[in-house]
Amino acid sequence: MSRLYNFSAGPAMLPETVLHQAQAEMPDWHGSGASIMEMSHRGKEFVSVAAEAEQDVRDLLGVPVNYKVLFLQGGASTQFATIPMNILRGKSKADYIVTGAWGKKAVSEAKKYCAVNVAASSESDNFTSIPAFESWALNQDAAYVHYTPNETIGGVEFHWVPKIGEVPLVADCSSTILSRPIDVSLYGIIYAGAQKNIGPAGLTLVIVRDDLIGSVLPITPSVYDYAKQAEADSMVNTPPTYAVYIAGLVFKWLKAQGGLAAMGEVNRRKAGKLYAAIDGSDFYRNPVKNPLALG
Amino acid sequence: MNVPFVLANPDLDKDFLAGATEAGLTTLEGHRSVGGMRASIYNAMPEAGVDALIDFMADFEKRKA
Repeated sequence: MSRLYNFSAGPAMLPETVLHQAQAEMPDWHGSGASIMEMSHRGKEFVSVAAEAEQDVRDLLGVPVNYKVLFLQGGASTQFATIPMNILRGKSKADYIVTGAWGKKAVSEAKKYCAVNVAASSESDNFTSIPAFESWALNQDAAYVHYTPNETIGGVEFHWVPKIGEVPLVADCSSTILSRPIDVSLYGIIYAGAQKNIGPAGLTLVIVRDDLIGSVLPITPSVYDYAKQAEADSMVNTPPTYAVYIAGLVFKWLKAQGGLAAMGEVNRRKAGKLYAAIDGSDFYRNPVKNPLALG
Repeated sequence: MNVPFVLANPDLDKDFLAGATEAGLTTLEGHRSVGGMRASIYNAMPEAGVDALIDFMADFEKRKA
């Protein structure tokens, strides 16, 4: 069998060693006589798998102690709704920066729960750039500012973190999560669908600052309530146990590669040489403006 | 992490995608809303995969330009 190089935007490739380990452990996990996917999520085996996965995320990203790490379900698109449900905290408005199709979807979902101010958008140039920070029309009384550090469809990627002051910054990091070191303390929420850099589709990682949770909209279903999920170790209902297990193997693999500094190095090299090949030829063209500019 | 690119001559898109797939480089078609190509190069894409794509692109250009 030979493995393909799959350039899909997601579900994407998983490390081959992770697939082989999962294959070897599938029918009989660590001599338990059962597969992880057959085990109770309340049993000590799975509880240890989930706890280790959370600790590894904390280690890899340097998550401060005043942040919750949640493993939820439904993908990043579910978070488009659950974010306003959870962190409006009595406010009625939120700011959105739209640099692509996903940010636009996040806006249309959030509009069901609050007044959305699109503080900046690059739709007029077909989502090929980031509007200059000085032009952003931010509200000081916004509950949060939402943006998409990497848009997977148009390909616009931030290489800088917006400095927006006291208003919590919320980032859809589905494409970039765990691909390089970040300073979690600059964010109110970091969230990501798993199917690009973490593991099987369906699993969703949410990292949220403590002081933002606990005052949900009354309509919020319990499974979408960050505070209830945090209280229940992300097990308000049965979690996607096998997906959490695979993600855990990926986290171990990332640590073995040398962590996010090492991954960032490799990823920068990969992007650099591919953009150089495109830009060095008249035969190919890249529609994104200054994709690697550090801004 | 997502590198979109287009061929100067979009008539060659189909040939490019077919040739890439044959070379073991799959799912390079751009999102249906924007067209062209897109190479997503997340963590688990080995550097060797990116090298293979660059080699294929150069070879395709040589054959078709």
